[in-house]
Amino acid sequence: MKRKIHINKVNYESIDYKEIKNFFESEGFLVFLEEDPLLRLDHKKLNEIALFFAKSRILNTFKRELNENPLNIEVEYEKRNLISPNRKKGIIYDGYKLVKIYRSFISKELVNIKDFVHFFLTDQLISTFSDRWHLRVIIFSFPVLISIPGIIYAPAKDRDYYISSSLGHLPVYKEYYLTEKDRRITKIICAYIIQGIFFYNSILEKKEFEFCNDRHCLLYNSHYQRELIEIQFNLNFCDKHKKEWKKIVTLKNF
Amino acid sequence: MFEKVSEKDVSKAITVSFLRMFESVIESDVIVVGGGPAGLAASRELAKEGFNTLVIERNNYLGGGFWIGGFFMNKVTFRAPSQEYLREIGIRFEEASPGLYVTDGAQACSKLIAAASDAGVKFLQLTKFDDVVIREENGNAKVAGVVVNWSPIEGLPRQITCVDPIALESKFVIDASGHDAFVVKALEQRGHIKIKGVGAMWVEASEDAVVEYTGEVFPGLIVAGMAVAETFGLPRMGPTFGAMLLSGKRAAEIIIEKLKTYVKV
Repeated sequence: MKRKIHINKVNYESIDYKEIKNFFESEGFLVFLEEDPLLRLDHKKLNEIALFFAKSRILNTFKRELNENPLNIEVEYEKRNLISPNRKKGIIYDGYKLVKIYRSFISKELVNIKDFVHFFLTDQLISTFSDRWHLRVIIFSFPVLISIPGIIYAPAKDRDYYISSSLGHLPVYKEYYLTEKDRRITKIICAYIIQGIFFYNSILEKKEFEFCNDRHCLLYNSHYQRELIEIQFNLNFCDKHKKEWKKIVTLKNF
Repeated sequence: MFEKVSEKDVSKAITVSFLRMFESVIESDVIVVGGGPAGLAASRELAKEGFNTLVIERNNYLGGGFWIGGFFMNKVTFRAPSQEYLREIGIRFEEASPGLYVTDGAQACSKLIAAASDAGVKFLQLTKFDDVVIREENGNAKVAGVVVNWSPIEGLPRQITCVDPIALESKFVIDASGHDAFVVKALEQRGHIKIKGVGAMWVEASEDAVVEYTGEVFPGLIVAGMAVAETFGLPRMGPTFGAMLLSGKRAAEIIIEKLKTYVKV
């Protein structure tokens, strides 16, 4: 029986979902592409989730506190945004809080991670707190949450980019930077889904999920956008992880 | 060359004209606190629709930070689609890069002031917001005006400036006082609201957010411009002004809608 990957889509013109599906099917998975669950909320659920989103906002990147007491305007903003197919992206949310919301959309019969792996893509910016809040591309949890604007904004760009942008110029080497409409994002999402599959596998094997130190392996933890483009985009493994990936894809279930 | 008039005629003309205007705004439809780009855009839209609109500005000059684009350079920038508003009020601009427009601060600011003035907005400069007027309506508190004083009062020793402020009433107040968010902070001091402070600078994201969060933050009080960022903890914006104009416009639209069904208790 093939392993099943559930990918919950988000509306983003640069993502080719067919390519993602074909890629993982060619690796031997059964892929289910699901529609964005936030676009089909009933009135009650919309109110609840809008409030939860508003409470999950980060107000100050140096303070752990979230927006515990949102004003009505903030909740109304979330409502408008949630039901919009082209959502605004100006707010940063606590990634783990959003994971909780997305978890509630997984039906009970699909919870077993031995048989199913769940990915939710989001068009919002997510972050996690350590010494301060840091933007993130991916939250390794149940489900795995991947932020598309996170791919564009979380990994730092070269100094040149920030200097030229602050002066109102377009960056010179555009190929080094991802933008909202960049078609390379599709392959990078594939790389992060693979990371997520490794994460699920590590849970099943009761060992800690670790990134790879090899800069040619897609399990390398890229901190810069250039790395993302050079490493995750190329979808290569190091020898060790190539073997592990083969083992994962030939397992009967997770 | 000039008509012969006496000093007293000049003084009388100024006084009578000012008092006539002042009397007309002791009770107005909308008071806008802050004569920067957001306040000017909001007031213009309201006055265009025939609403009695007053802008109070603590400086002698109107325009706030709109004269200067940043770092003392007098070019101001706008991102699409806000250039349409520039076109509407006759401000010249050029495209610096796709979707980014640049214009002369002096022309942009003076045109915006003129557009508000032409629409019928009344101005009180050198007037400082002192406090908020709150009324009970149907058991709920509502902002119903502002308390003001001359702003030079603030700079003088207290023993010679025991000058009481005066109150102006209105159906709605717009807080367009920038990062100061004076009106919102006055409500916070009274325990009516809790503001969240402005976040780190992020031009790409903050402009949308400022327009999206523009709204009635407390009954009778609408926030516009950078006061929105201050109230809701949104990222700060840097020297780009599109959101100020569109946030002001949205604040006016919200009030216009509310004034259609407004019943004074």
